[in-house]
Amino acid sequence: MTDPITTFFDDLAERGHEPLLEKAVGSIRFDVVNGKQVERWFVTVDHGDVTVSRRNIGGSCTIRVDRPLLEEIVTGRKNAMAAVLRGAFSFDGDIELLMMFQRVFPGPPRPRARRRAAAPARSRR
Amino acid sequence: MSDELVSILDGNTFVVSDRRGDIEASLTDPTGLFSFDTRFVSRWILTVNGQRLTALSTDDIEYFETRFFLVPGTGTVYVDSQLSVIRQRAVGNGFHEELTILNHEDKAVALTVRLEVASDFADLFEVKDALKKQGTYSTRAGKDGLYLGYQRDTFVRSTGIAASERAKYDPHGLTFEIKVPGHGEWSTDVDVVAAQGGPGQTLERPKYARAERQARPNMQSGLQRWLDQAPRIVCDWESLSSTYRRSLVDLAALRFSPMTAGRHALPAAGLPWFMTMFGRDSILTSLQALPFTPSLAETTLRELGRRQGSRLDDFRDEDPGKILHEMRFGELTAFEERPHSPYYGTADATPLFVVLLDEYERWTGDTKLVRDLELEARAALNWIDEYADLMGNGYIAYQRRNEKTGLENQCWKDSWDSISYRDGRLPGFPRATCELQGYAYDAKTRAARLARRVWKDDAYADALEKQAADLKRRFNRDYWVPDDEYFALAIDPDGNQVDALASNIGHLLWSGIVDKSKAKAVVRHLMGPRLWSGWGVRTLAEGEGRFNPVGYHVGTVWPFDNSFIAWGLRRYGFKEEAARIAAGILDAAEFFEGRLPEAFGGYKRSVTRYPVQYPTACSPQAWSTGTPLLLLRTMLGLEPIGDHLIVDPALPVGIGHLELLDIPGRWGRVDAFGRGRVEVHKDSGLRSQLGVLGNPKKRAR
Repeated sequence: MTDPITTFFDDLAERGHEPLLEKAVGSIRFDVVNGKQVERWFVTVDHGDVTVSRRNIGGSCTIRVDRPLLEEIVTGRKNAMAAVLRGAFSFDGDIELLMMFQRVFPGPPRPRARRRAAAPARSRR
Repeated sequence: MSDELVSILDGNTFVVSDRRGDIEASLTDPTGLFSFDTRFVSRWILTVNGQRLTALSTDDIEYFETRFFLVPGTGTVYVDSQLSVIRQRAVGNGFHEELTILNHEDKAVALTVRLEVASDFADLFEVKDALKKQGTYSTRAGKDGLYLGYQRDTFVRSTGIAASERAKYDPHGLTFEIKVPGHGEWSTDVDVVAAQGGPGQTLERPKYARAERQARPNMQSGLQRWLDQAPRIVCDWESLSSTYRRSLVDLAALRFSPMTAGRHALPAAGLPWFMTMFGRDSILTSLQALPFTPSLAETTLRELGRRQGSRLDDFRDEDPGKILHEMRFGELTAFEERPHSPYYGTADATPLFVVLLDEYERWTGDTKLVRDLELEARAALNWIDEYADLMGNGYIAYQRRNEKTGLENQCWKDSWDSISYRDGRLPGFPRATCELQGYAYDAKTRAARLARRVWKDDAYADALEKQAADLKRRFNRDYWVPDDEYFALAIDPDGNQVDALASNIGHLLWSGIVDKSKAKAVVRHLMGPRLWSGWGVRTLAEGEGRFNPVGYHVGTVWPFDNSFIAWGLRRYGFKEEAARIAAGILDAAEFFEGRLPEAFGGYKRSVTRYPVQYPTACSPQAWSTGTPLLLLRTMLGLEPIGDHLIVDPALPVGIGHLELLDIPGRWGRVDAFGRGRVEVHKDSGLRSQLGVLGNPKKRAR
């Protein structure tokens, strides 16, 4: 069974460039709380160019979140901004960077072929 | 809001109380201290020697401050008028109350003064639904304060109450045992702090802490600065000057600063229940206010851009590139029981975002913002083609994907029966209402200009212009009702016209999508007896199946709707008709003491003689507040061309001489002048010109 959090960060790193983050500059430290353990991920964004690391490189923004919740967020089952509102997804530092970064969390899983809007590029009229 | 209630606010923190200053929240009386969509105080009752008080008068000093003059006892005969009680209250991040008791007798009196306090921590959405709370409450009465708390998982909200004078705190309030000397007074400050904290977050300090009383004068000077920066008006018709001032003050009260905006503010939708960011309302109000307070538009664009949709999310009706509909912060949103984090169920905010960006640049010359928001503007334009065309016919349409808590009608007429056929039947979904196509056309045309001028992408500009021309051609063919010569309200899922005659055709003029050859017929309908009430254009024409002069979107007159129709009339050269609309709406404003309601009845003016207010929860409403501003623009014919401001006045007779001085823009500051020459009331048989006949509800001041 693959770990959704590892998968999420691996995918992000593999993309190298993320258009949704083109205006973002900075680095985010994720403190992922798993019982007594804290796993750390560091994401650096430079105008859409993304690098991911497990090594401490500091951060202009720190996000602290319980592992089960982050698992649901990176698979689209929970919404990050709602989690911020209820204090379950706490952050420190550059809020603008956080607002930008939450764009890369996926939407909820969708039943296949449910809506036309799901098709990203249709031939036009 | 009921006239019996008093409200003060600062951003999205507001206090609603009765005229005594007491808060006794119930289902029918939505009073309380609210902040970030949560009620932090639901009970706040003052007694002196166990007696409730009676209000002598209430003085609304400013929108953020009020004063209550009270005497002990209830009923018409005062039990003890030897005492006066004054409560002065200002809102901050909570509120601050100065409580003063005056003894008018020769000898000293001993009194028990008590404030009863409670909080239900209700979500704004729950207030009217009376839903059962899922979290737990806590109360801590200490030596120096009372703390009320609510917790559901990690969601924590708390209220702290502390007085400057010695008090005894218990779980239900605080009591002062005091002695007031003969002809003397006693006074205390009480601070109420609304705090939202997750684990590890500390309580914020109250803005009105005792040592910081200057906070209030700061707010006052903020308002003064706001008024000073806006253009000045000089007008023979006094009513217009006072309406203008009312609009500016109300607009100041409606300012809302999202957390990411720093000191900048955008217009919230309405006071007090809609003190939050709304895509449609914030954009349209910013457009109305552009010639007066351009900074609102800048903040609106930046903050909406920041929260642009990026994914498909059915619960939130979110698509990539979509501009949000409404943002909320309360418990139900936090636990994803409501979709407002934010909710994206609107089909018009996205094209209107691009329209505002271009109009903003035309006024201010701020190309930096246009460059900063290039990606967002492109994503918005992409949304129109890739996600909004639900029927595959090249038109923007809407159909909610959140069928439980999403909005059915995702256009400005968002009530359930607003979109209908002539015979009153309601169409199925998706619905492609006509004004959405106009907005899309305008967005593409304007974006082409920005692409050429600022983004330096001629190929993109060419493509947008081609798409816009194609859309205009198809629209004038598919939406035109040839027998009666107007545009259908919508296209239904079968591709048929939803053929009711509605005010939406006026927005089409504003967007410029109407073929020149068809404009005259459209104007004939707008100013004809079925749509024109004498005060303004009705939302739905008399004679349509669902027409009702007091139906929310099916017959009432909406001031904001009319202001955009007037702008559209100017765009097509119908100056006199635009002046008629301005005269009707501004005339109505005089009856409402300068504060236009969201809507008023669509009765014929010659029948009711005064505009009948439609009861609404919020006043002032942002786009009603912006209406006199946009009407000033249309009457004076203000239009930025290059680096100049063109002035081409067409004013109704009765306004007399009008000057608007120091209009800000890329030209620096310029003045505009005009004189009323357009006869507007020839047919109404009422007053022959503005301000001539006596007004039955003449202002008291």
